[in-house]
Amino acid sequence: MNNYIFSILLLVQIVFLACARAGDCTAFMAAKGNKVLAGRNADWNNLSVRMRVLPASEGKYGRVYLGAEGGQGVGSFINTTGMNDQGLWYGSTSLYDGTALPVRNDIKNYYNKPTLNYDLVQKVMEVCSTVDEVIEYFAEYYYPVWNGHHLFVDRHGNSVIIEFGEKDVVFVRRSGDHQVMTNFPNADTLNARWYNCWRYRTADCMLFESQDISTEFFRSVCDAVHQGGKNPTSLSTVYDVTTGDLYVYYFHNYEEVLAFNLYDELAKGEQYYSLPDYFRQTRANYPTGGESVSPSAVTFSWNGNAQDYDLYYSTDPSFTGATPVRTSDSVAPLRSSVGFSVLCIGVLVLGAGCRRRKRICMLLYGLVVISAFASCNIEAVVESPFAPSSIEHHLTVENLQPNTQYYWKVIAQEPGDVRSESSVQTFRTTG
Amino acid sequence: MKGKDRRRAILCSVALIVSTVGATAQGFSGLGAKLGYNSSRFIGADIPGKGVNSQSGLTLGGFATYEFNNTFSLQQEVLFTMKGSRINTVGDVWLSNIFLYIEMPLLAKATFFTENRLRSNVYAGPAVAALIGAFNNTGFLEDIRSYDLGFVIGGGVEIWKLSLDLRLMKGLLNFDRSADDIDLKHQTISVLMGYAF
Repeated sequence: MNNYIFSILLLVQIVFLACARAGDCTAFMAAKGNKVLAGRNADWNNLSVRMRVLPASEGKYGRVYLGAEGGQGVGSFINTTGMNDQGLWYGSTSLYDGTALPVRNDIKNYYNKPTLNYDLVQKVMEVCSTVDEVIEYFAEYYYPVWNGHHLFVDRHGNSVIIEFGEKDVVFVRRSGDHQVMTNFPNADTLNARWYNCWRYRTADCMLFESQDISTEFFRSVCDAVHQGGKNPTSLSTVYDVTTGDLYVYYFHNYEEVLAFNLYDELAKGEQYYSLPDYFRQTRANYPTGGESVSPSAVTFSWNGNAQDYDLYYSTDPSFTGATPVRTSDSVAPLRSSVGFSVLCIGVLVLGAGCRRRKRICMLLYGLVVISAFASCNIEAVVESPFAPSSIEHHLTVENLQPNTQYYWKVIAQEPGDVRSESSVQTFRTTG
Repeated sequence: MKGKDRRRAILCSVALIVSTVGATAQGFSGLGAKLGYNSSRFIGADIPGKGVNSQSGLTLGGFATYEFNNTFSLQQEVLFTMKGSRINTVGDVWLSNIFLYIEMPLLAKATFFTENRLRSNVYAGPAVAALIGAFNNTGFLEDIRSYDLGFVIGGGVEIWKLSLDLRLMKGLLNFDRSADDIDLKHQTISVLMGYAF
């Protein structure tokens, strides 16, 4: 009878949730040329995403962890990905947690291995610098928590997926130049036909077909395998394992990014970032997608809730040596003109419609004036982290080089070191 | 698709269409609805995983009967049915695979003790099925044959307008098209309650 009910429930679950389950995640890496990159999507309805920076201490490497807060302060922070100052990266995804796959009850210490009274993933991030060292730790110690599996990558380009097999931990080494992990056991190759995860297939195909890799390309992989629905992709992270660069995307909006560098962050000391607080719904509008523009004058356009932005444009995609242009020096944001329009409409409506009840009219008029000025001067309130910004910014740049490929982006200028950036866009000037 | 499979499917489809049209022309002797429980599993030489176990499912649909005489009749059914199997993949993990079909069995039926209030019957016949979808815990399954062909054998009892059936459906076609030469078919045991209008 339970079996019967389960099958009905499974049917309902599939139809209505369409594969969007709590704890679905995707982790992937690629090593091509001299680049080693890693990425991870966290598909979870917990939007309280956080980043914790822990500088090196005695016997422990410096490291950064990203994850989500359970709602009870720093102590409830659950880290699901991170990197240490030796260039060792990890990302975890759920496995036998009762959502993607049923809970396993047969996992136990079959070979009487010693156990550590400490989380083994945290331990290896503290003391290991290579994948080989991680494997030694996991092979030596019994680790009882196997409701997920872990992808480790080091700066040399080595990678391994660690999960529990039939009786012991198993290590799935990379066979090609990339590795992908979602919510089925990678070691179970005999049943690969029955693990038909679209996120795995999509990421695997994109990484297989790519000739060259970049953080922008990894962003596109995160975008391609993101989920919506009730358990959306709340946090996407892309790491350059060799340089320590880290890019953070929130709630599957890949038009806006927070850029960090592990070594810069470690130099600041211990940090705990509430990441949603730094996103400003920044989005580049024009020119995008490599479109052709006249070199005599280009009017850049973007949306975002920050007061000031720095515009970077360059022929170099890394913007090396590019001098930013600050918007506050040039053009006021559209928000002010919206406020002015509200004021004008208020005057016209009240002036035309209210001749007799002068006191009421004057009161209403005063309220409209105060509201209009308030809307001009306070920061726009974002009602939801997912709402696009209605504040449009423009900046015109003249005398660009003709017949040249350009890259551009904007960075919000606000107090503090963490700043919202637009994704990098391209355009080409005509001859 | 192999030529042998294609010929089987075409022959059965033609038989179903001809019989349905013929029955329509001469008038149905009864219409009804069926609802029941089924238990299905994969059979064949290429059983996946460490083993398979039965998967519970639901069957729901209607039927039309054409009587040749008091004993022999033809019954055409259109059923929404769940098939599948549980696969033991790793450790004690069982993957629940569910296949949804619209199945149309055409059954030759012999009814006994027709003078009694409690009548019994046996029946057999082919069934073609169209796949609606297939999925398991990890997502939707691909490379599944879009139709299936099986053979149904069963028996039951009838009293007043109610009936109770026990039947076995054996798949004749390999449903897994993820690789060549895979031998994997459906087998379903169903218990159905019917009501003739």
